[in-house]
Amino acid sequence: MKARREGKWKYDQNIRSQFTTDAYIMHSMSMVQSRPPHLPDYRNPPLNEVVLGVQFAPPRGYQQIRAGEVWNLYKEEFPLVEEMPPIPPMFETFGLSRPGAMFNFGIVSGAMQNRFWFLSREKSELIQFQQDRLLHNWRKVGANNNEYPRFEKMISNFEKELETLEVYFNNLAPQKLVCNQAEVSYINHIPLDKGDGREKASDWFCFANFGTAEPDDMSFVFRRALKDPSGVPTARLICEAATNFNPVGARIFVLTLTVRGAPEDTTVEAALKLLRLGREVIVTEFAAITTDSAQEIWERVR
Amino acid sequence: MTQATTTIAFMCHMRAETRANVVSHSAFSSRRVSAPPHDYLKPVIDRLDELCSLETGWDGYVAPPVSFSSAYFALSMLASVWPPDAAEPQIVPGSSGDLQVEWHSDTTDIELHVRGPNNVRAWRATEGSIDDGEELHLTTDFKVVAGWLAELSEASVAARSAAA
Amino acid sequence: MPLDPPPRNDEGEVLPHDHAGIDQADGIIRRVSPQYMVDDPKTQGKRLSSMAFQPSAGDRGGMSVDLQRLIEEAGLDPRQFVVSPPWIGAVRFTAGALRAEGLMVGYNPLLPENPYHGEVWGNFTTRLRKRLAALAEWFVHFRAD
Repeated sequence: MKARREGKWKYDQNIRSQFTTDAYIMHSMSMVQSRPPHLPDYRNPPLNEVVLGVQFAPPRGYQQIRAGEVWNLYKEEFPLVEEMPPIPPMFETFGLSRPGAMFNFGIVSGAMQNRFWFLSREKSELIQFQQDRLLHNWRKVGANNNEYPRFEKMISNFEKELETLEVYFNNLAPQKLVCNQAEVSYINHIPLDKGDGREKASDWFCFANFGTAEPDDMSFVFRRALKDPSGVPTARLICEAATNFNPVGARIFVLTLTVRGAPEDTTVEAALKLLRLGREVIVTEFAAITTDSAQEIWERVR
Repeated sequence: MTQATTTIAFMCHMRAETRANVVSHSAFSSRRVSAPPHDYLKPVIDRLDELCSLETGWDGYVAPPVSFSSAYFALSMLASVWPPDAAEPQIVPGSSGDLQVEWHSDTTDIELHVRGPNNVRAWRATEGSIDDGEELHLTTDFKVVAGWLAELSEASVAARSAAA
Repeated sequence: MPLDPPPRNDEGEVLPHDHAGIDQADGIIRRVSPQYMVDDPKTQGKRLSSMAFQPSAGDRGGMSVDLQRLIEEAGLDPRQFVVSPPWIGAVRFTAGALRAEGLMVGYNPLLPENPYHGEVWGNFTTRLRKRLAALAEWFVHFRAD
């Protein structure tokens, strides 16, 4: 293992670019019920939202008019509903190295069905559903004091939600969910206007140093292919950060770390495994790209 | 610094009244911008849109239109393999929602049969191996195909130079 | 002479089979769409893509065809019958040529729309599809309008 500069924290740098063999085996055997001990941890991280998502082939026998039946599957805990425009399919592929982009077509032809949000009473958690997606979001709401339930609880709930949906689709026509992408995102809000002198990018990010010419605002993206233990790229880490404003007008950095890729097979189990592995990459990357002083503010404990 | 995405700032502007709505888009985000480097994909996007809009039975039997997910996957695949200076591919629909992306030159045939997301049969034949060719089953890593297209492109440039 | 009914499973679906009543010399017609045409400098113009020769979806799906002899025995002109919709063209094989490629040629009437419908089953690799594209003979060319 390589020490991270002169700081006290040490971790395996390999996790940032590949799914390590140990993690692969551990998550294949679903051994991890609690937080992996090697992962950095914080008492007060700047976490604002976490999203777990699975994309799958549109199931046979499902039509948009049945969306109410899907809502009924989750209504007890998610009694509120909103309708949203659809999200086009997304896939991570590998070959030439070039900036990512998204494409939109077929919206006019009506090839995509609307997306539905099923929200909890407090609106702090929601399930997003469309014919080819299921996502589960946790987010800070209101006075920002709703506690993050932690990844282990979120993924346990998401697993049950996926299984429930799979049973529902199987009742429409004999079938399993055919998962073709899985994605986990951590969205962090780092306040800049707290009056504590930490208003520069270099206060928060290891790689940002503008000297005396701090920009008024900034945004950046970097992406890195993640390889399986045999060296084949299977997923991608996408890191985005930008200055922005929160709803009360205070300046923040929004730092989003996403891992997205194709599971090793089409089962729900394989999709969940990718989410667990992705989370390890994200948490390790977050620790690697943020400064020691920032991590002290967030009260890093491991 | 790499080119920034505008998504989060854009969405914050659009949805300022509901912060949670904004950030809840971030996974599988509805980013709407095709950055300029991808403009050369527009003819392909138009063709895929056409194939997704075919009527059932377009083949004289009962073939459905090309599936939306296969079309999007093909586009993502092309963005990973097709350099802007290479010839535009031809795209052919299949009888079960699938599609094939093809390049044909005097000496080389490359065909990428997108059977579905993460399921591609890639085939190439070059002069002297037209009947047999080489076939690969690929999922998401298309580096080999990028190499094939680079060779095809170089051969075309060489042929044009020789003819000039 | 009518063909014996094809083998079916408990759900009534036709199972892949090679029908003994389809003779080696019998014409097997495959409808093709202009969507399948591609430019190829090697043929100095357009030709059929190998995608024109692949099975339909489903576990037991074969490649749909029309059985020329059944159409003729019904008193119909096969060249008129197969061009539906009217912008479709058609190519022809013999059953023997398809069987020589390791394929099974069977009977699967789709009533009432197409009682002369057949199917071809096998392992449709890229190589095989390209072989079929090379073997196919034009039966009805696309209309010029």
